[in-house]
Amino acid sequence: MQKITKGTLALGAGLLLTIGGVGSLAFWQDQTSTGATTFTTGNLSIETGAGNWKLNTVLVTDSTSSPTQQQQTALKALRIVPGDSLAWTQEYEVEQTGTGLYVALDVAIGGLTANPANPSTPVSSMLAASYTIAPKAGQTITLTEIPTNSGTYRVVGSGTITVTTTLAWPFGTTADTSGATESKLIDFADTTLTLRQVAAPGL
Amino acid sequence: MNRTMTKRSTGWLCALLAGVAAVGIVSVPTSLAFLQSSEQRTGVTLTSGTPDLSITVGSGGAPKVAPTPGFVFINGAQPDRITNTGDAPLRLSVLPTASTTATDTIGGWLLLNVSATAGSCLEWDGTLWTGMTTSNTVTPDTVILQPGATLNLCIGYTLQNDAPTSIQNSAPTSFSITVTGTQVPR
Repeated sequence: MQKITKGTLALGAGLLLTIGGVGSLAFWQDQTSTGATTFTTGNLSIETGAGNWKLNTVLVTDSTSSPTQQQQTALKALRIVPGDSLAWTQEYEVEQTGTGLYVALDVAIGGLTANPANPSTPVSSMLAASYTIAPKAGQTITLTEIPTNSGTYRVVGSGTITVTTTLAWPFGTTADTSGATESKLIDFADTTLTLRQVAAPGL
Repeated sequence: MNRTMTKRSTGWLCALLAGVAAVGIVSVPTSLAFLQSSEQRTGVTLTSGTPDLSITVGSGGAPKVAPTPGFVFINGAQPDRITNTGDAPLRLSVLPTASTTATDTIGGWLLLNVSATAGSCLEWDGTLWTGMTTSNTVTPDTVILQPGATLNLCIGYTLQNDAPTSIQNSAPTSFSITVTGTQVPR
C-alpha cells in the first residue's frame, strides 16, 4: 500500500472510534427541588394606654380628656393632706408574637423625693408608694411574678394590663403642729415598664 | 497539571470560606440581640396642703349693756365668722377663757354658749358648746368645717340667776374664745 492510502485508512478508523465514543461518555442525572421558604421574625411591644388619677376614689384627671401636661398641672394644683390616698391607674398594651418566645416584664415605679431635699422631714414620713399589676378585666394575658426577682413578671400572651400605683399618706395618731410637712413639693419620678425577651421561662 | 489545578481550587475555596466567616463575625452583634420594648411615663410633682382657720370678728361680739341676773346676750346681728382657709376638713372645738373666774367677779357667774351654724345667729338653733373655763376645751366638738366653708360663730352670754349682789359694779372681766381646728380625714 502506498503511504497515502495507509494514512487515509488510519484517519478513517480514528473518526469511527471518535463517533462511536460520544454515547459512552455520558452519566445519569435526575433532579427535584422543594419550594422556597419565607421566614418572619416575631415582635415584642408595650404601649401606654389610657390612665387616670384619683384622690380618695374621686377622679382628678385622666389621659383621655387631658394631655400629659394638663394632667401634671392638675396634680400639682392638688393639696394633699394626711389621710389622703392618690391612685394612679395606667393601662399598657402588651403584644408578643414568636414561636418559643419567652417574655419578662420589669416594673420600675418612680421614687418619691422632697423638692427641694428636706432631710429633717423625709418624704418617707409622709407618702409611701405601692403598686398592683393585673390583666385588665376580660383579657387572657397572664402575669406571674418571679419569686426570686421582685418586680419582674413572666408574661404569657398578649393583651391589656393595668398597673395601679397608690401614693398613700396615712392618717396619724398624734397631732403635728410643727408645720414641717405643710406646703411641701414632692416629686414622683418616672415610671418605666420594660418588656424583654428571655432565654427561658422563669428568667 | 491536575495537581496544580487542585491546589488552586483548594486555595480559592479556603479564601471563600474565610470571607464567609469574616462576614459572619461582622454580623454577629445584631444576631446576638434579643427583643425588648419599653414604656416610660413622666413623673409628676405633688404638693402637700395646710390646715388653716381664719376668724372674721364681727361687731356684735360682746354685750354693750351692763348685764343683770337672767340677762342673755347673743351676738346675732353681726357674728364672728369662721372660715376654713386650708386644704383639710377640720373638726372645731372651742376654748372660752375669762381673765378671771373668781366668784366675786362677773367672770365667775357668766355662762358662755357657742354655736357654729351656716344660718343666722338671730335664729339660735341650739347650743353646741356651753361653759366658761380657763383650762378645758368645751365639748361637744362635732362640727366639721370643710375647706373653703364658712360658719357663723354664735355666742351667747348669760349672767346666772343666782349671781350674788356682791358682784354689782365689779371690775370688768375680759373674755376670749379660742377655736381650734383639728384635721379629720376627708
